[in-house]
Amino acid sequence: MTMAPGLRRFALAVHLTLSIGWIGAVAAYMALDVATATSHDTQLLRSAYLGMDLIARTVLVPLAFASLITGLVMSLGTKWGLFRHYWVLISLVMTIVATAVLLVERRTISHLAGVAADPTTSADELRALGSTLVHSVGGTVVLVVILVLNLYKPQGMTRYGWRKQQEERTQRGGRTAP
Amino acid sequence: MNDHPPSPEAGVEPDRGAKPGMPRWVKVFVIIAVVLIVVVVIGLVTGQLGPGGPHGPGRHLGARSNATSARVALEVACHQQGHYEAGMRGPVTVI
Repeated sequence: MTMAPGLRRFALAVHLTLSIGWIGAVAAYMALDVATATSHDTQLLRSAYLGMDLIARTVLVPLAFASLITGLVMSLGTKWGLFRHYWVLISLVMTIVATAVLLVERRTISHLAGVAADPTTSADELRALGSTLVHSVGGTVVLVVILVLNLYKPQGMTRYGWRKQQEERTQRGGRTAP
Repeated sequence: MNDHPPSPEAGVEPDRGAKPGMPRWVKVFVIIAVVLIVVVVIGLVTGQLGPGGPHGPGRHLGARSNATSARVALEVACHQQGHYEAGMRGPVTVI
């Protein structure tokens, strides 16, 4: 079922806003993550861990799910389909993996924030907590790759897509035949 | 995401007849993904990425408890070796 042009444009605008917002939120998170990796200032470390938890909880996770859902709506509601083109399929897989890793990492971030919020945590213990920089940099790379795939839409149809295309052509041919 | 896929009639997509093969860029993608998965599996097997490993998800979880455990272990060791001095509340620093 394909969406009407007006609805499709609206859905596309929503999907783009959420997806690019996700990248922006990761950038904000990464700024705090870099602070936890490099700073020795106790107050800065405490606030950075708390900020990371807040961003992950209230922005990153909702945006990840919203991007995934609107992406599904866009692919199923247009002629691109979900499994017909390699770039759509790869984008879907990468989005699911990024969301899953984010959900796992959220527990770690939550724990870090809990330790940082504890007033009895010493400066040495705060510095020993470390950062989640590997994940935030990796996540950014994954999201940018998905963005590039969505912008360039490289050619390549899956076997399923090719089969569906053949079926549609046959049906069209059958209808137009005298 | 997208607007419309290229029209099959425009000749951008494979025409009827031959089944489409996997494009080169997809093959490169798959190779990179396989290499990354192998690296992660090796990391998990060697303990570098596993829970508690230096880069694993559990590495942060033990940071504080490790410090506490070290202090407790030190106190126990001091007690066992009789390093407490009369009138002192804590162990004598042995490190």
